[in-house]
This record gives sequence, C-alpha cells and structure tokens, in this order.
Amino acid sequence: MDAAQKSPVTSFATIAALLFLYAPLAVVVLFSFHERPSLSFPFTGFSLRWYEQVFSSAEFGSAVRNSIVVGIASAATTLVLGTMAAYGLGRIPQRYRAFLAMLFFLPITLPGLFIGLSLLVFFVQIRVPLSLVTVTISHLIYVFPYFLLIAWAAVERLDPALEDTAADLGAGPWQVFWKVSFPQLWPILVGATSLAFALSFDEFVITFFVIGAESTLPMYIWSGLRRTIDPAVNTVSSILLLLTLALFSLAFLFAFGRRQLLAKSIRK
Amino acid sequence: MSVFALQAESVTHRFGAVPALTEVSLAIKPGEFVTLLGPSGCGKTTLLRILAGFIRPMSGKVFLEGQDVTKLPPHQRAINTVFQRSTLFPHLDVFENVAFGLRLLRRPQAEVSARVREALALVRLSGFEQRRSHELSGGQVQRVALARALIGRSKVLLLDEPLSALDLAIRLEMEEELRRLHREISGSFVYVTHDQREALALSDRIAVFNQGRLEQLGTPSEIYRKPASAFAARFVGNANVVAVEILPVANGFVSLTLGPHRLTNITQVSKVTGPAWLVLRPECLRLGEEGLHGEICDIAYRGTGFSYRIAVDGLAEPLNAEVPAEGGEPLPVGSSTCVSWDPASAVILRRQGQ
Repeated sequence: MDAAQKSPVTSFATIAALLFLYAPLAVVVLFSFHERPSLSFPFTGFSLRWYEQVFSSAEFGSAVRNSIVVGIASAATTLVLGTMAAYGLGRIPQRYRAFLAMLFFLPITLPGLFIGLSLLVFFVQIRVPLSLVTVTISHLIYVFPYFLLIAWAAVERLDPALEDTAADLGAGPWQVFWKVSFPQLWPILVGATSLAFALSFDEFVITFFVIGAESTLPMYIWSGLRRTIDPAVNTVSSILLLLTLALFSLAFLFAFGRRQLLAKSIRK
Repeated sequence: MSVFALQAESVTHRFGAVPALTEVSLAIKPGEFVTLLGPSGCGKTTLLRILAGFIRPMSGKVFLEGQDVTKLPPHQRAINTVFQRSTLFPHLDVFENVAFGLRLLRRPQAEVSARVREALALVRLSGFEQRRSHELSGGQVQRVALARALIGRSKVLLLDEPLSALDLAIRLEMEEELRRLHREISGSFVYVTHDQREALALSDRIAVFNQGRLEQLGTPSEIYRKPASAFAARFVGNANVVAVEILPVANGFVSLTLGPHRLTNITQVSKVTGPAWLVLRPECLRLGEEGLHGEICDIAYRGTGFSYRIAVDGLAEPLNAEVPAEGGEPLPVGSSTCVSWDPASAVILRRQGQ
C-alpha cells in the first residue's frame, strides 16, 4: 500500500483525474470575473460587472427565490416523511423489508428524463396545472431515496437497548423518540436534509418537464445559454456552485463528522 | 393474605414454535432477593422481560403488589430494570442519565438535584455528575445504571445479568455493592444469572430454571444440599450425578447397584426404589483404602485443596472430588485409589427412563 502511494504513476493519475474534474469548474469561476464578454482565453482582467448585472436582474432574483422555496418545501417534507419511513423500515418484519426498501430506493436508478416525463404525463392526466407545487412534488420523489438511505442507516445504528431503558424508566413511545432517539439522530437528519435541499436546488432534468411558466436557478442558466452565450451564465453558475458546495459541506459536516463523534461515545 | 411484591402466575410463552417458558409460577416477597438461575436459553431472561413488561406472555398473569399488570407496557409499571449490557444515554451526562426518570415526571429542579446526588452517593459515584459514558469504566457504567434504576424508588428492581460483562475482580466488588444496596434500600431484587456462584452468594432464594421450567425454588443452602433434580444438582455446585438402581430394603439396609458395584447402607433412608440418581458433592468424596476402585486422571490445585478427576471402574463419567490439601502433595495422575463417602452426605433422586 505504501509503495502504491509513493509511485509516481499513481500520483500523476490522481492529479490528472482531479484536474479533469475541477479545472473546467475553475475556468467557469474565473471567467465569471472577466472584464470582457469573451468566454475564452486570453483572460484580460478582473471585473465584477457580470455579478452586478446578475444581481440587478429581476428574473435572476425570482429564480433564486423559487429555487429556495422549492428546496425548503421538498427538503422539509422529505425530513418528516423520510424519518418516518426510516423508522418503519427498521421495524417491519424482515420479509417485507427488502421489498419495501427496493420500492423506496428505485427512483435512484431511474433516469431523470424518465421520471420527469412520467410525472409530466401524470400531472396532465390528473389535470394539475404545472407550477412550483408540481416541481416540489417531483423533487420530493427525487430526493427522498437519498435522504432515506442516510436516515435509515442512522436509525439502524440506534441501540434498541436504550429505547428499552427509557421505556423502563417511564417514557412512553413519543417521549422515547423525543428524549432518546431524536437527540442522537438530529445531526444526521440535519445533514441529510441539507443534502436533500442541495439536490433539489440544482436539479434540472426533472424540473424541465414539470415547471410550466416559472423558473428556478438551473432553468435560468439554461435559458441564458439557449439565447446567446451570455457571459452572465458563468456568474450564475458560480453562484450556484458556491451555494451547492456550502450545502454539501454542511451535509457532510453533520452527517459524517458528527457520526464519528457519536460512534465514539456509543462504542464505549 | 400477604401481598407479594411481584408475582408470576402460570406464565407460559413461546417464540414461534419454540417454548420459552412453561407454566412458571413464582412469588417474590417484599424485600426479598430472588435469583433466576439457569443456563442460557432456559427462559430466565424471558421471564424477566415479561415481569418488566417488554414481552406479553401468551398465557398467565403478572401481579405487582397485588395488581394485575400483565397488560401494562413497561413505562406504566413501577418496576425498573438494570440490563445486562447497560447503556447510558450517549447524549446525556451522568447527572442527566440518573435524572431521566424524574425529568419525565417534571419534578422541580431542587428535588431532582437532591435525589440524583442521593442516588449517586448510594452507588458511590458522587462527583461523577458531569462525566459522559465514554469516560467511565464498565463497572462505573453499571453503577450509573443502578442509580438510574433506583432513583424512581420502585418497590422492585430487576437485574438482568448486570455483572456478566465485567472483569472478575470488579464483579466480586459489585456483588458486595449489590448486597449492601439491597440491605440499604429494602426493596425486592429479582436477579438473573447463569453463574451459580453469584446466585449462591447473593440470594435469599434461588429459582433454578431448565428448558423453560422452574426446576427448584429454595434458599441457597436448600438448593445446594437438597437438589430436587439431577439438573439442579449438576448446575449448582457441579455435583457428581450417577445413575444407580436402588434395591428393595433388606435387613433394614438400603443397598444399590452402581454399574457393576453393589453397595449397602449407602444412604440411611430412601423413599425411592428402582432407577435413581445418586448425587455426590465433590467435597464429600474421600480418597483412601476403602470404597470404589479407580484411577486418577486429572488433578488441579485449588490452593485450599486439590480437585481430582477419578475414573472409577464401571462408571461412564469420571467423578469429581475436592480434597483438602492439608499440607500434603497430591496423588500423581495415573495412580490408583479408592473413593468413598459419608452416606449421610449423598442424595438420592428418582430417575425416569433410561
């Protein structure tokens, strides 16, 4: 293992892979600060003019607002439903568990195009007008399995002996949840909810089908690209990147950083 | 009629098709220390969980101070439990762990502090209030769990092998603590263990379980001196249990056949004739010139004496004998000797089949 780590070939491959992943992002961020509308090298100088343009645009403002509203609505609904589903999966008889889990997790494997199209057909069939509500419902379907995956693992790690102990000391089922299980789960639930929000925030494919006349941030970027190559697209993309990164960091910090802390105290 | 602290009445339970408990009745008096003793899978933990309310028995009833609590869930029973592998609530410190039951009742802060301090003093952990469970040793965790269970001042404390995960030295210390606690708080303790030494050392009465049935209920010395079954004799005190035939009384003497041997006056009286078990405690066997001939096949030095395993001619199993050392050297392995015993120390039990 040591030899492999020190080998120049693996070092080179690692650096090349990271460059391939992140260099295009760096270029987008760099050109969001470009003083001229040109989207290619040479880079002639820094300016905040595209940021000024974007922030003064009413269309951008409403797209951000819509994305946040949809993100919060779908993440909050996922938090409640997903936590209940995680508890349910842990408690139902083994023979139904695998089947039910498969149904819950299936959306991860379905192409977004397929989910988007089928939801569009469904909404049209039941005559629900396309709006942010249909976007929220669609995002809920999309982010739910990811949330459940994390929440279920967390619920499974809870020590059932602690719940027995709490009940033995006089705690009813609700008190057991709020006083014993929830205090152990909340960091992971916060992390999983941030992840759900982040996934919803930059979702494009499904949104494209079910959004109707409204716009979200990814839709706004796409429409900017469609007309001309607007340099402001770089700026909006950079903002989206920054927000998403911040959310994912939050999610990881809570869901994984805290988990180790928690595991340490449980192991003893 | 006296009211029992806790009572199980013909409790029967099965897990799927596997019977876990069959018609178990047991009454625990106020202030009594009763141990449920048996090998793993004998039903003792199932009975404890039925008493605590975690399992509803398929039939039978549980009474707590005369009240039928069979259908009450655990949080509505004034019984507290210390579990085998006690876990403290990881998000709470020692103080809040102990205070848990009182917090549920929304007692005023002053009362909570006073009672937590009192409970921690009782288990000798004063000053540990701010610790978290990962800062405590296994023995300390069990003490916190004890304080947490005792703070509600329920009349009955259930203990499910609370010492089995601890090192021997800490276990002995905790046994002493448990005896002291039991004297000080004057509640009833129901204690589950598979360790016969622990059961003998702690209990007022022992209930010996085997395959879901209550084999024998009695004081430690009754169980030890007068085992009711071959199982109880073997399980408590590692007695030699030998299959014998009791012959009809002749000339006022009881005689029996033991393999190829025929012995007379082996016990003074026996109500049993025909197939029987002869129970011989290892410390009641004597080695010398008289008795059954055998060969020593193993020796262990115990400090106060020697443990011999003796292959007696015509017996399938070697006999265990505990012989005081008295300053001497042990008989070497392979040497031949004779085994005898005081007839008064032997117990005869009826034997079915075989």
